[in-house]
Amino acid sequence: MAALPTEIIAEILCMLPVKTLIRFLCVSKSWLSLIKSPKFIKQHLNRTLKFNSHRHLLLTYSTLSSSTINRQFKFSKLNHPLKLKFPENHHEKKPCPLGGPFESCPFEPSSKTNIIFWGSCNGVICISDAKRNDVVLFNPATKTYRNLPATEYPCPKEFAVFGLGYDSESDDYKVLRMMQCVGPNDEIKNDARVYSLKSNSWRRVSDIPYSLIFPDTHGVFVNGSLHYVVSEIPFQSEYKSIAKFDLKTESYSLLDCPDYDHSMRCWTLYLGDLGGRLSCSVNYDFHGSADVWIMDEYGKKDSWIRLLRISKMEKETILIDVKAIAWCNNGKMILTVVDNELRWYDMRGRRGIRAGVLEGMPGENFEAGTYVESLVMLDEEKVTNIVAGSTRKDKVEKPGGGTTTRKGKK
Amino acid sequence: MASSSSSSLSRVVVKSSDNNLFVVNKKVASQSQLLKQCIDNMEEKGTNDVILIPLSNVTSNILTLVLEYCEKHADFADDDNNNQELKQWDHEFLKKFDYATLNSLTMAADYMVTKSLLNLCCQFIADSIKDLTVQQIRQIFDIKNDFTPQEEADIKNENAWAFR
Repeated sequence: MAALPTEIIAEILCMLPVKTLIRFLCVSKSWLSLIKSPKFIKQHLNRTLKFNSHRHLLLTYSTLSSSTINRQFKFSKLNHPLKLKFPENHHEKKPCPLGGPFESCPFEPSSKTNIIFWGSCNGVICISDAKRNDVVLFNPATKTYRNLPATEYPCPKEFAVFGLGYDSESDDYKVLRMMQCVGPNDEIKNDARVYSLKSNSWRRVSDIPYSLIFPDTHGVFVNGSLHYVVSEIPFQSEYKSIAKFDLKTESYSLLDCPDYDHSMRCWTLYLGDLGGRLSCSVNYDFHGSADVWIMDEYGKKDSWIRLLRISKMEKETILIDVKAIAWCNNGKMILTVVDNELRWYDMRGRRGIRAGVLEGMPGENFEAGTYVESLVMLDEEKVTNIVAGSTRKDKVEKPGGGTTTRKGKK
Repeated sequence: MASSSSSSLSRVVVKSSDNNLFVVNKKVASQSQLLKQCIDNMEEKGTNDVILIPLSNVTSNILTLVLEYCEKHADFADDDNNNQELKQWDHEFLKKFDYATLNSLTMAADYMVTKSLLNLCCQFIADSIKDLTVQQIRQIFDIKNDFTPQEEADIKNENAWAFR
């Protein structure tokens, strides 16, 4: 039987989930170097993004998990690499070492470890513990991770806000850490730093010239930039704007907000990524209603479209909390968090219709986000990397005709 | 492209690698970009004769299958790939073949530039190998294991979670 050419093999493997591909690393050296090659990793990721496949829903409450719901998402427990301290009565279980076998170190539902989710991009998620002592980039699909090195904190750590994105120009994953706090003489302290995965280091960038309004929300990555809700005038949170930080130029600018109803006092704005487009959930808290907007054409004010209006009927409470989470079936369905309930909206027809609720969710406070499965590797010193690296290098060396004895092969 | 009907071909003859001839209606042949290109080129030259297109890489049993696919798909518009009936037919069509035939069919689709058949074959193979073991994969794709036992064990150990 004739062997399929590499391009067709790549085409086939591109369609497989990450776990299967990790298993197929040991089929042969050529499969290993194919699956580990940056070109294939991108090809696989682009296909996943294009077809919106292999997506996971991420919930953070006292522990992190992810799920399969309505066949759109997978649901499984996420064992993350943050250090866990087990309660006293669990002496037999050692704290999970960073890099240990995660499955053998399951979460205790009672563990009080609070994890903050700082966004996801191309299958990589950024998480930290509540105190921001440990910040980690983690790919749950490949189970690889990178601990971000320590960097100076000019404000108390609790003020740090992170955002994760990808700079296609330098082919690098970047984390932006911003801090804003008031100093002892009422002066505003500002600090902004960018971590680059390639250099594995932090460096200072210019400070954000606006004030962050919701300092507990992470930057939302859309169209090469991280987005935050800000105010141009310090401490004037009524005048909200959207600021973006371009990961390529590393500069800030403002983006037009949707034309929401200013006569109703808008309390909270949540930004989000709906199918690669920036969304803005506008909450009119004291009117019991909220709108979900989407920016159809990036950067164009006129292209903000109101997708949904959610109003409360109950009289007893007029507070509302709506946040758009995910875009499914090419926009036919939208997943939102409405007052701690994960709710589907059917977007066919002119107005979104409430289509159902995700069952089995925790009734308490949680944050929801999504990530896709990708092969993006965050660690450097794996056997597979060494073997793949040596195979690739051999191919490069051949044309030169030099000696090809390599130490890498063990 | 020639506009006069006199130089427009209605049929072509395709020759397989084992020298069998297939008379193919133009609409069916056009499902393959390779055949379509040949037809367009001949029409541009104003040929009235029935043209012969030799396919040195495709055996007659595989060519029969490619043409069966093209014939079915020629009845549907290009943007009709989501048609349920067609999807069902595609699935039934591929279901009958063993991996060797699927491989040859995939290569023929690639060679004849029949993009939708190529995608279909790739997706079908991907779906069917998803849960197979490494050993089974080597068998199906006729791949020699070129790892040392130590290397293979190291890779497995490092990714033990993926083998459970």
